[in-house]
Amino acid sequence: KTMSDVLSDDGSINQDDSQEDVMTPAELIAKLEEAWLNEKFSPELLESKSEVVECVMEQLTHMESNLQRVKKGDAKASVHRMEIDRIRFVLSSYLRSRLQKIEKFFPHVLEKEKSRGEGDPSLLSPEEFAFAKEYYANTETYLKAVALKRMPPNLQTVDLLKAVPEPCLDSFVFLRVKERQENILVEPETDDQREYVVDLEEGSQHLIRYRTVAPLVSSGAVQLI
Amino acid sequence: MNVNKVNGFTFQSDANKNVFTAFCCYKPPFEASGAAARFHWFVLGGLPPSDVTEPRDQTRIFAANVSSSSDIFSPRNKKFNFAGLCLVSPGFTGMFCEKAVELIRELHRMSDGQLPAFNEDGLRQVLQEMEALYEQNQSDVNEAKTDGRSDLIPSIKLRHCCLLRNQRCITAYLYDRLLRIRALRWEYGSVLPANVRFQLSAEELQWFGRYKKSLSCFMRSLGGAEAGGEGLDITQDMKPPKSLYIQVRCLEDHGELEIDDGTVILLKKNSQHFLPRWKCEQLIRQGVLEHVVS
Repeated sequence: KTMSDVLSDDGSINQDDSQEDVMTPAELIAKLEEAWLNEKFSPELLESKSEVVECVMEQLTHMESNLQRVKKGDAKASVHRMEIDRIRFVLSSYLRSRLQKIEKFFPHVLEKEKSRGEGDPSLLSPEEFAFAKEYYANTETYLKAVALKRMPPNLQTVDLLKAVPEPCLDSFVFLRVKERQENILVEPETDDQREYVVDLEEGSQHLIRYRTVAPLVSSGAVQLI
Repeated sequence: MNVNKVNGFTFQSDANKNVFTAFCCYKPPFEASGAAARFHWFVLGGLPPSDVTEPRDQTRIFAANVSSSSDIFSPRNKKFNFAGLCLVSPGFTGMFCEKAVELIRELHRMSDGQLPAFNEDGLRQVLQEMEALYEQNQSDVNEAKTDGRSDLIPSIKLRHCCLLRNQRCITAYLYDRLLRIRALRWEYGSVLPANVRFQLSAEELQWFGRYKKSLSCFMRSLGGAEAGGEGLDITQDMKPPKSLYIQVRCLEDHGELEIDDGTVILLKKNSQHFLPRWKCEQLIRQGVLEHVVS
């Protein structure tokens, strides 16, 4: 693989606080692409994957510096350049997806992060958390200064949790099953339907309501496509 | 069954004139003769009046509950029971919340995300209406308490509904504009073209400035503080890379551009260059360069 050519070390990546074994660059990029697709197609903001982001950025830095050492005009250089650009695109797109959802659902995202349990995984990276808080403060300050404080006394606040819509968890998503699942309960959509149970075979693809499979997306049992 | 036609409204009352059924929806029906007043038909639930005859005789609100504005808009032929009408104030020339809805419509008309100029006047008018409604309510509430005038309660509730609606419309107007302004950062970069800046109010420009700062702080921090790097500019790489280099034509003089390998290109109007794609993206979006597809 091209990346192993470009990397001058043994091509492996260490993850500081990971319980997994050392990942190869290919595995890291595959993880990035999975996170990217899941985030792109999920209606709600998914768990933060800071480790993946940091490792990919380190990877890109390695690749860039190795590229400097390649002789100019060497045909390999343009292929490596393309590889770097592609990875950077996926990473940027992933982070943009997240930022868009953070902005769109900002009061809910902050509420969820503030009220999560100690051991629960983070919804937001520290940088995203700071950004979300700033976005909230910026918007609230603006609305107050321009309109709310000029309104009658009993109308000077707006509950942003009520005013800003929540993500629609009932939107439909396409997915591919990575790990076989049994007895998934599918809730009825209308009053004349009944709930039913479905098995998800490995490798099969489905169009299903996000709400039904949300825990499977975070566990990695299914991949949104 | 009495049937009366008033300004396109058909309403019926039963033999006791207790329940009125109206066909049609929300609009000011008519002007009472002899008084510069308009009667507003609202959908009201609750107690029917016992002495409603000709609408123009009525000057007080009778119904007990005011339903939400969503009940007011009805498809044709859907009937609503209402128990009366109210004279809100003499000389009142329009519906409540009209100006607020106009603000919303102004934005709704530009559905492609364009930003019209900030409607300072419109905002001020809605806030003035809110102040007037509130003051009327304050005095009615006092009267209701001291003189036991419980018949004022429906109009108090009505004005409160209008106040909430105005608040909601104003916040929706302001917030939707912020969303459009946010999109400008992603479209044009941190420097807005003059003709776009012109459409923003001073406070909106402040919001934009804080948003920009917050975003660039975020981007710089990507990859972890320990990495000591410059982060990642995620406003670049908006499209998947298809080719490394692209042919561009310069649309205006833009001075010098340094590429990664140190070469300096002079961007003179109408000159054409074969440049790395990632260097050109933002300049293309800003209109400085044009991608030449041969």
